[in-house]
Amino acid sequence: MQPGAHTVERLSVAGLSIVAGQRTLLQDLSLGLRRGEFLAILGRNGSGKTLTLHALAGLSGPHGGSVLLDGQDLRAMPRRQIARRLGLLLQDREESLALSALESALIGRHPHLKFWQREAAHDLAIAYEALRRVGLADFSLRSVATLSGGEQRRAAMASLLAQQPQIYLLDEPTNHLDPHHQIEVLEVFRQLCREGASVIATLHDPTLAERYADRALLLYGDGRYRLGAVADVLTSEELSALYLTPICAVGAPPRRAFIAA
Amino acid sequence: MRTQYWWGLAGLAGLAAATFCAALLVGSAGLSTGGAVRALFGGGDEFSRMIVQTVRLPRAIAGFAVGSLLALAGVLLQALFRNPLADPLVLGVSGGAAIGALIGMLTGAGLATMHSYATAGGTLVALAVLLLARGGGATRLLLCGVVFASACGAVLTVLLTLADNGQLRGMVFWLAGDLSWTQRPALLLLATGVTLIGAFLGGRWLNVLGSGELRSAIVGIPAGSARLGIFVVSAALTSVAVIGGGMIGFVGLIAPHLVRLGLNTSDHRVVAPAAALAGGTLLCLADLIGRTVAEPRELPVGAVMALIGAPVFIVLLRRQTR
Repeated sequence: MQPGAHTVERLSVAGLSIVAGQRTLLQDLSLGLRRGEFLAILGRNGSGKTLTLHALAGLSGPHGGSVLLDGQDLRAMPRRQIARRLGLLLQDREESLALSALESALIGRHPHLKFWQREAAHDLAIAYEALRRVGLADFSLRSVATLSGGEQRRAAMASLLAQQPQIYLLDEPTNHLDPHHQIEVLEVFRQLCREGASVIATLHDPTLAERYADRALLLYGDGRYRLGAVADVLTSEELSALYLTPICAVGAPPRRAFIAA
Repeated sequence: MRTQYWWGLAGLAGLAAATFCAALLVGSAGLSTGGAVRALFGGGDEFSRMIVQTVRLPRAIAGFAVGSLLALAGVLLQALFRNPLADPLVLGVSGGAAIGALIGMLTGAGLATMHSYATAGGTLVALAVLLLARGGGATRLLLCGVVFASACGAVLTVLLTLADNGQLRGMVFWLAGDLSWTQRPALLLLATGVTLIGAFLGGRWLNVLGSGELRSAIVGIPAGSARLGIFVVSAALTSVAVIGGGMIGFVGLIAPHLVRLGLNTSDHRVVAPAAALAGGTLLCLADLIGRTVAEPRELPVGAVMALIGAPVFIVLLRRQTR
């Protein structure tokens, strides 16, 4: 692709390696995330998907290599400044004090507020809109702890949406969600991409990856990776090699379904 | 802030004021209520004035302030550890302060020297806990605190066995919580005020922290420095409270729970001031009961607090699990 205004990289990764214990899960990853792009990360359990996302969010130092956010080294940036541009949906809910869904969504407004500032009507409106987008409008006063697993997942998403970053890192966003809500939340993030955001999501379903992602990053868990357009990378051969189990593709691009044979 | 919270805070303030007045008017000196009121405003005979102005007033202020400080420390620690069982006394800092104070008593030092020993003890243990927990998460910090607290408990026992009979009584009393040693209660009240304003302004920040360490980091609060900041502030609050009133348990644990359940919110901008009011009221009340129920003897305020606190806490826990 030719360099130009629309191809400016928001997140540039160079030579990134991920090490867990003695194992090198990922070696020398280079990647540029563009405006409006949706990138899916696929791999077996323990192949380093979450660690990669955390390294991209600056939560755990990359073991070699660098991550640049809008051209600035992530490690040298204050967390608050990172938080205004980059958000992460965690894979699991952390142990927390009791919060209502609305209070939880308002947590996302933190990077936009000064230390002593209270949430203004504007922030409340953003939080309510975020809850509405994930289908939790009627649950705003319910305690998050009393919600079902899928609803808790969407409450965490509402908090991320209220944060309004430009880059959304999603760690298994479809976890705990029924098929309807899987489609619904991925549509929300696809729409955000159309509006100019960028998304990196780890997914376990190549079918969803093909439907929503532009590019896919396959992590083999032994240091190797493969990065490419969804149509090139998501083939039954590639996926069978990735998951070490035969996977067959049904239908024709861009609406193939992948099934473990 | 919703009006129901303002009403809740106003109600708590009313209770605090009522308890405070009762602490000034009731006692074992045999003053009539009218006499005590006159003495408070400078009337009445010299004995009444002495009792009300130099005994009851500083003690009521100290009780209120110490209770508030411990409650605020509890609020901070429960937000940091996201653990409803966190209590200022589990940090080990109070144990360090107590060791310092007992050494002061053993060596026959004056009250001021004893307080500086206590400050030094609390600070040393806080530093040791921080140093040992460095590089680990909140759980490691909590565990280091717990280990130091029990180690301090052992040292305290040894110190008690070294004391002679004359000193022993005062020491045991002080360890069980004793507000009669308090110096400069106004300073304690000032510390409470400053912390309250800080907690009110930083309440939203505490809300974020209470939602999880990774999540806080994602929205812009680095976990490590937040942990350090909260630990240092709550260690300081606990030390000041222990120096002011000895080892008083349960207030720091219960007051935050009481207000969370009572006002049905966990927004720290409401919880922090409400817990401070509730903690101050509870301790003032416990001291009032302690010095009147078995008069002319005094029961240590820490023991009374625990006697009230334990059943209240059990009831709360039962309610929570339902």
